[in-house]
Amino acid sequence: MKQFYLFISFISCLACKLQAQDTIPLAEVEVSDTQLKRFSDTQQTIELSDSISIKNQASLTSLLNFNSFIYFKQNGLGMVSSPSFRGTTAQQTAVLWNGININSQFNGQTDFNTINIRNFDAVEVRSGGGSVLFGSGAIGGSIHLNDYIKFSEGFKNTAFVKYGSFNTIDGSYKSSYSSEKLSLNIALSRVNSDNNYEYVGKDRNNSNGQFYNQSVSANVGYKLNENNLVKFFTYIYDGDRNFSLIVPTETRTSYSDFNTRNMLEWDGFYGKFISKLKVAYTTEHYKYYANIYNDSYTEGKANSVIGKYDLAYHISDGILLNFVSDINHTNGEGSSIAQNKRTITAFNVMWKHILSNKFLYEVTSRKEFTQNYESPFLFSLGAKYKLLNDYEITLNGSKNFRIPTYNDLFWAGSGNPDLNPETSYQLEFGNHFKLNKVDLSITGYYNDITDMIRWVPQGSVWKPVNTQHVATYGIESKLKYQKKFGKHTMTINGTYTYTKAKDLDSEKELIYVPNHKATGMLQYKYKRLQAYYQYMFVGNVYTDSDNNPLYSLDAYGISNTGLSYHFGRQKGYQIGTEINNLWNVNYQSVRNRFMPGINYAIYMKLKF
Amino acid sequence: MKYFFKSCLALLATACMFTSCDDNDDDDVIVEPTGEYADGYFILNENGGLGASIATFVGDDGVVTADPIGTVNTDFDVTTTGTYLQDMFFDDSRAFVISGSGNLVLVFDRYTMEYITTVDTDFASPRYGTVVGDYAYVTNYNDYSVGEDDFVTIINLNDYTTTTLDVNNNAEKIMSEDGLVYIANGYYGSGNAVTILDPSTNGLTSIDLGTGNTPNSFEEEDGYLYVLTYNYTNAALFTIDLAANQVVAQTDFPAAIGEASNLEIEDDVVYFTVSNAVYSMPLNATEVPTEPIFSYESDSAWGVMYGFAVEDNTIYIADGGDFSSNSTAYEYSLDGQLLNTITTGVGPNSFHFND
Repeated sequence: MKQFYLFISFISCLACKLQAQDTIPLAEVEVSDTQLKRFSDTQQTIELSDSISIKNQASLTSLLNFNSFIYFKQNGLGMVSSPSFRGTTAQQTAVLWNGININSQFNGQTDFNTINIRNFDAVEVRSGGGSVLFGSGAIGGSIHLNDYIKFSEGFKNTAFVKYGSFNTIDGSYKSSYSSEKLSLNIALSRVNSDNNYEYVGKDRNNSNGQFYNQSVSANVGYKLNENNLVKFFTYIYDGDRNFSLIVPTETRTSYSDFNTRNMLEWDGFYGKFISKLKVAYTTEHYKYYANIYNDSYTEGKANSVIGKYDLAYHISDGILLNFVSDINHTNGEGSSIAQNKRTITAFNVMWKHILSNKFLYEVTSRKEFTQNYESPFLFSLGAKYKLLNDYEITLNGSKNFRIPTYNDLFWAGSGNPDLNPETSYQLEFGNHFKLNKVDLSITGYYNDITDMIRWVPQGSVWKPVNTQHVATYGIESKLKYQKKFGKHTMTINGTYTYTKAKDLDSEKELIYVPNHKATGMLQYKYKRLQAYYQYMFVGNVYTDSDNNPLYSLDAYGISNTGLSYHFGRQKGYQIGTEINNLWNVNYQSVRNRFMPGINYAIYMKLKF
Repeated sequence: MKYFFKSCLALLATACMFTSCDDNDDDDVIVEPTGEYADGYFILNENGGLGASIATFVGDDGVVTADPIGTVNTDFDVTTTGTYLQDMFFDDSRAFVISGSGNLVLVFDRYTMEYITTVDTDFASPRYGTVVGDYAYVTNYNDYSVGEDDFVTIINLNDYTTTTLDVNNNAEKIMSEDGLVYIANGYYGSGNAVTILDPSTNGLTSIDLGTGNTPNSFEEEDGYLYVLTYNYTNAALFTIDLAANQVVAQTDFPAAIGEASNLEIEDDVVYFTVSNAVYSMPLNATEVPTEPIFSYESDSAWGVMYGFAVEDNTIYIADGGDFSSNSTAYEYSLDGQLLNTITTGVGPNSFHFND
């Protein structure tokens, strides 16, 4: 008995001692997308804050198109939108919600017009391979939608409403309360638009393009004690779009999405160990109406249960050893897909070593197991070295993959159960300058992707097969400059990308990958007044497999500008106005799909 | 001197034509059927989502015009024309082009390809068209998965008003001969009849071809309707006596031949295709040949023999290619010698002879 008492005292003392020694990094408490924070030192990330997102439309497409390296093709404003990141396909960009991969189980991609950015605290873009950390699809890069759980911030509210051309209403409301132990957050958002913009230089309007979407998210954090924290996240999205018509007499179609994501997380901070146990349940359900005047539709439904255990061991100040094990069970079916279940189990081992304030390296690896296909061993190796006080270089090499989707594997009469994942080897080299008021990064990359899954005709049906061999390579650069003089502040943000994506068999470029894309934002602030000018340039793209210049889409440059005024106590109130496509440029991001000309919006944001 | 005179006449005719273009109301000027595109044939380019050249024109002189319609009508783009251009057909002075996705029919001057108007009422996934007198008849899929809801849109060519006529059966290929309209009731394995539409009464007469025998092409010749069908086992050629509206002969093809389609009859010779091969046999033959006349090379797995025609001792073949870039059409002699290779637009699907 005495021994037991001693043991307990010893443990408690040790625990006290460990606790006393330990300072838990804030990011480990606030953010659930742990791997993004721990293992992104040797790759490029861009965080898009609220002050940027307020100037853009509510869709993730608009935000990333104007502020990141990613190129988008949209079937008209608000319609189906797919990214090409570093010249890759839409399935080769992973989208994560609080660390959970939410690309559709059916087509393997996220439609970036079905995500309303107003719900999230931060949107981050991470360039390059990340399949070890973020799973399938993180080849071109990954997009991270994160909610922060914050404590001791009291009661806060933000209301936002924007009204714009084409009867577009974009509103959101966020409320949070946090004490030392408890954190409660709720966010509501809704966008709806008639989206009946006039085509520039044509006597015609966009028809059947109306849409709405609404989302609710609620997040709770509760500190059980100093060492244990429980979090709960939920996010519900409901959206309905009609698809705009090329010719007004086309048959009218529409598409609706209903998605839910829920996650329960238990974090434990035990000295050198950080343990995170997560259980998530996600659902997706789409309906496609081939004729809006009929009740008949086709659909797909999938539910996934995800379990994840993450144990980080901070061996010493500069050494982190991280184990992650996860299991993902999906049950899906659709109009053309019989009910199918898929279970994937994965084990990760990751290592990060900060040797000095000049040099660090990281090594990560992952192996998945599933009955559906042979899954490759994935890894990444990265290093960062500070050559000079204001100059750093990064080097990263990785193997990544994109797994076959439900449509690929199980589509009635066409699905190919023998598919393998697409795999990619990539190498990148980054240069990062931090000079006085200028931050400049230039990264070159090469990406070799094999076993690309393409649907090709096989007799009288189309079947997906592992066939294409593609190389994508290029340069990504970003620039940030800030200067203050007196009450004036000027900020410049810019990106430029050069991209080549080639089919190595045909030697032709992939369609819809511009060689050049650039974005720029000039912001100027004087006292309570802020003005900005935003610009995006997209080079010409081929739209046919022969790269016939006759069918290429012209380059376009789009400018937006706006003015806002901050007032009230602590400048918590803001009113603003914006003009989009200032020069009324007639452009198409997808052939025959015209985008809006000049259009306007006014907005108001109240923090209280 | 004779030549000079002819040239003058041609010049005059052209001048008249341009005058008439400038003044659309001037109906008094009667010109001979002549124009840039009067002598030759069109290859219709289905176009998919690309929205490029609607038709390629091959003149009798061999000169190829890649995009006559776009050249003549410079303000045209896909927001006017639609995509999935299914069929082209003519009356005496006009050419009609059907856009399957646009639910519309474009009307052009047959010989100059100048745009006249668009008919866009009463269509639901239109397919093929034909003209009898002052009316055009266009078949419609409507809901693709339902055969019974298919219908024919009847266009009054005087004022371009439309009405519809229910077919109560699959409605796909359509043609007219001697004042009657013939409709093949079948696509992709459903439907097994031919319907005769009498324009004077709009009455329908259906002729059953037997379960599973889905018609894919047909031809009228000397009072008989010849229909090529396929039932997933073997093809068959039906002969229908149009005096009695009765099947009078059925020639079953050996199953080894496979899916025969693209029936053409020219000078009492029957032509058909299987995959990339062209076959022929005398009309009224009872034995079906198992060896083709020739076959052509194609790396298009989905668009092999996408368009086929036999006209004036020449066999015409269009290869669909990959449906996302320009493709190719070929002219062959009747014994299979390659005569000419033509670069077409995207997804060439049919030949339409203008003379």
